Amino acid sequence: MRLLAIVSLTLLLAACIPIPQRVQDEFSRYDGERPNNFVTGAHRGGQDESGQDVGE
Amino acid sequence: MRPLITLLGLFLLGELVSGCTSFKDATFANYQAFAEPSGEYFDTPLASGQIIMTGSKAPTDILLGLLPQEFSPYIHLGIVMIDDGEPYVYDETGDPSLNLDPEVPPTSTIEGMVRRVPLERFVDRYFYAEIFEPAGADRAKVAQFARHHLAAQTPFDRYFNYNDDSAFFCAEFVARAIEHGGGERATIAPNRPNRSVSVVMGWLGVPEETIETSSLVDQSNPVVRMSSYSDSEILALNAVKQEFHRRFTADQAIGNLFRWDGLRPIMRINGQRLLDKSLARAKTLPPDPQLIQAEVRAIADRLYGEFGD
Repeated sequence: MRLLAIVSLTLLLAACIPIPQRVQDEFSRYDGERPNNFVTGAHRGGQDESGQDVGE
Repeated sequence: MRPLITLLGLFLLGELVSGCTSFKDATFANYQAFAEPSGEYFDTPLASGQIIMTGSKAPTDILLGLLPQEFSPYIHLGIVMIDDGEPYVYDETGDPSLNLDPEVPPTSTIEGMVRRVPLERFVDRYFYAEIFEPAGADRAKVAQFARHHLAAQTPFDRYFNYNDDSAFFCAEFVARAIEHGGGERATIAPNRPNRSVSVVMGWLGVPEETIETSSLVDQSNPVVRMSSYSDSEILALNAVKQEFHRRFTADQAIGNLFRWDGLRPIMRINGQRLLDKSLARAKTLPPDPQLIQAEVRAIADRLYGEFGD
């Protein structure tokens, strides 16, 4: 049981690479203010990339 | 090849270890030989000193593929070796250690060295692999270089410094081996300018330049191709990555295509849709590069809107 807990803790710690905010910001969601060449159909020009209608 | 390719190792903390079986017993759905048997390994063209290059659809690999000025479908490379009658790949990789300080980039904790992996296990990790003759180099000398640095346990170059011969990153290991074998020095080119990428690369502390794979091998003439996927699917994957590369202009942010899940980059659903739709379409098409590239571009135009050259 103790071994299992240690293994779980190790996996939990290993499951996260901390990154500074400025780097996190580059991975942040499309905010509608910057150019985006990958916005799907119904949301082209919008903010949400998770819509179901992809304009096909 | 891009010097940042082995950043792959930055994000892949848990490396899946598959079973080790003899390559000659392996059954790749797609195995093609384009050259005569070498006499080194059964009736295959495989020989020590050849260069193996891989293509992948992993988000980290697709992200790294956006960086170079010149598009390359390959993400990792190594040197083929026949040892004791079995084929292996010698390559240079590293993995980051545990680090909880966000201002300490994972690059500074990477540890690694030249390693030896059974060929089948190496290929299984990727979408496909192709093997080439080293450009203008003596295969025996390339192999000699690889053996020397495996024995010397030459460390992984965590800062991707091509001018430092005491450590190598993956493309540097291969480029130096080809140079040792009499081939020309690899071409180094600056990455495409992109503010978003520069923020991340600045944090990682790695130079924004790449080794061009086209200077290492004749990419139009593979000796062997191996994959669990068809040629059409391989062409579609390459075409998708090329389309991402084409649309990822200087004003694009990494977040347009990827998010960070705490461990590694994950492709957003808009990018995943192009990949999934293109691979599904490719299953119905003949392996014609122009046809498949046109189909992928048409799907991208429907998804994201038309995008000029």
